[in-house]
Amino acid sequence: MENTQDNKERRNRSRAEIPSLEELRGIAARKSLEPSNDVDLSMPEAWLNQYSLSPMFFTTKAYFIFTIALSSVVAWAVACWGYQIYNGMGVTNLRPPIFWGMYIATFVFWVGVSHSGTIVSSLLRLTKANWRRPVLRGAEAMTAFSLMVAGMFPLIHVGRVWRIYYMFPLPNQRFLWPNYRSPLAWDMMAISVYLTASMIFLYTGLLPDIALARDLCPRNNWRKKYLTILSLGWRGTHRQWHVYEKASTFLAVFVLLIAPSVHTIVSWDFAMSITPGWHTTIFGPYFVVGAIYSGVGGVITLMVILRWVFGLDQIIRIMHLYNLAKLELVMAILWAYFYFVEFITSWYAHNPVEWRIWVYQWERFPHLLLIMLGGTIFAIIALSFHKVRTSPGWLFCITILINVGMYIERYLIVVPVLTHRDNAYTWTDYVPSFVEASIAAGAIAYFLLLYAIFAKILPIVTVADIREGKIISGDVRIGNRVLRVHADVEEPL
Amino acid sequence: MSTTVLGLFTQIENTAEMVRPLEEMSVLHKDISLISVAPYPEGTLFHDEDHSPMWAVALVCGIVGFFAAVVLAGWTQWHININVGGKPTWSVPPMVVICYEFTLAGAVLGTFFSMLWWARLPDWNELAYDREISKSKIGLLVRCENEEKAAKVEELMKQFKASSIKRGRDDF
Repeated sequence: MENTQDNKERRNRSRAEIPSLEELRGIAARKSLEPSNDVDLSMPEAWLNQYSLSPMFFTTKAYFIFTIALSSVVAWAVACWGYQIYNGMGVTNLRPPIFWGMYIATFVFWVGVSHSGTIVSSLLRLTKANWRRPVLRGAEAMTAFSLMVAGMFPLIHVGRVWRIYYMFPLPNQRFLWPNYRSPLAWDMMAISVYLTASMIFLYTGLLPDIALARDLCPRNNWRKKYLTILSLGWRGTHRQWHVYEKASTFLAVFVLLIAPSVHTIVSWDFAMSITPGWHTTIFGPYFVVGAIYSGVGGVITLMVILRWVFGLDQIIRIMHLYNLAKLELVMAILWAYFYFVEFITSWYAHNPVEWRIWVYQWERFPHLLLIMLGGTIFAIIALSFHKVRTSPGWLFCITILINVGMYIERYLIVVPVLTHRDNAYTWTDYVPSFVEASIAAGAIAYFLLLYAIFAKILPIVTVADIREGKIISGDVRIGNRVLRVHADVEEPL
Repeated sequence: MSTTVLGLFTQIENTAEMVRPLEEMSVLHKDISLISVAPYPEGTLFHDEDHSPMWAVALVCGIVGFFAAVVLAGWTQWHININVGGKPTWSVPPMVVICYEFTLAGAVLGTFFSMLWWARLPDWNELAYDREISKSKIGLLVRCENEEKAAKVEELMKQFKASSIKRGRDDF
């Protein structure tokens, strides 16, 4: 049994023409890197390629268990959705006046998570932050996959999913046409544009790395064919790099303009209605800040998972987590400020209808509010400590707590307003049904599964970007310290 | 018939030093190209003129997107007139939102497709290339109009410590 496994591993290794994962890690360990440093640029060139692409070519037992567990949850969620389609929306607890419940809260949450991936990536690209390189791909992929998950929820929510084409400007037998006066139609347009732009942004960044994987992939490996097709024949000529750099900059600017608009429009789904609790001007920026807060948390969580599951700790270094944690600290303070502003305005104005919703929140969901607000206060305090910002374990726990809090925030935006609006005789309560909860849980598994599959079939690390960093960087000794310096290379547009 | 010589180098300095002798052999800049696994800064070999006005394509596509949105959102309101509380038929806010999104969608698509166009992608033909480039070798492509010149370039590459030299064809 052991022999068979050994042979398999040897065969795998010779096919991939790369050393084993342990050997790759061993090379790095022998260099005894300071964890606070950036990627060690003195490492051999071949190591960088092999180590960066190792998630594609090595499949650990943990990965198999992880994907099988995720697939099971997704299968369960799909079964629940099928059950809902077959039996109708009666299987949910959505009843008048609760037309929006857990599905919409989940939709808003995932759109929020999607926010930071491309924003972080494009901001860091545009500002030429040199520490950005190892985290770009993971962040961009997070945006694309969380948007794909978010996009499922309006479909699930409408019930008769096969009639979704009425939302598109397509001629149909009932002469129905989308009404662009509705913020829901804006939302659909904005999310479609954001998804398209994010996918293009991700794919553009991937092009050189797909070509690298194509070259390093053995001839008879199953990945060779699709890598050849997806690389589009990229060779890395001077002209190609020049055009690529320019396009990356342009796309970063455009994505940076699209992203805030998307979450603002999602907030307008609520704010454009004349409903107390929703109809507020602060909703746009409040949603955007919340989305970046939640998204940066998501990026940190995923970076820690990538370090653990694929052993990429020599590429995604502590200093990258440390810098992201600083950004998350700023976003936590900003989000708390926005929440406070929204709350104190309602409190001082004391509009009876609006205030009733706040009181209802405190009376009905004190435990959820405690997690949401307590989680953020705890995150602000904890992230102020250097030791926490440099600890992957702590960062993982804190960012999970942050995103649980942000999910609760979305839930508390959607549900209390509908349960306690207008006339008191319509007031009711809402608890998500088992079907709704299962589908929402399935969304998390679906997102992680997409991410895990992506890491297996395409490069999850931006190798070309790291190599570029290597070209324009060098170590300079000042006294007893060796510091990394980067040349300021500004490409003319 | 032109032929392309591809020389592989370990050091970028050797590659850059080859430019002057190539110029003396009256090889034009447009016939020289670098192939690398990562981008080298502009001017590593020589300063190249930019022939890809990507901004113009992005702008034009953005404008097309804008007018597509005006037509879609505007025409919809006129064609299916839903009178709500005596409000005007033409509502500007929805048009602003849709126009903003479509303008950016146009610009993104324009940028992407113009990148493919100027990078001459996709191209799955067997062009001059070597897998060693992915292992951080630096490739220098030189297009020569005849065999005699190609032989001279090969000789020059050997002088500048090219680790490997091969022939191929290229689209430049």
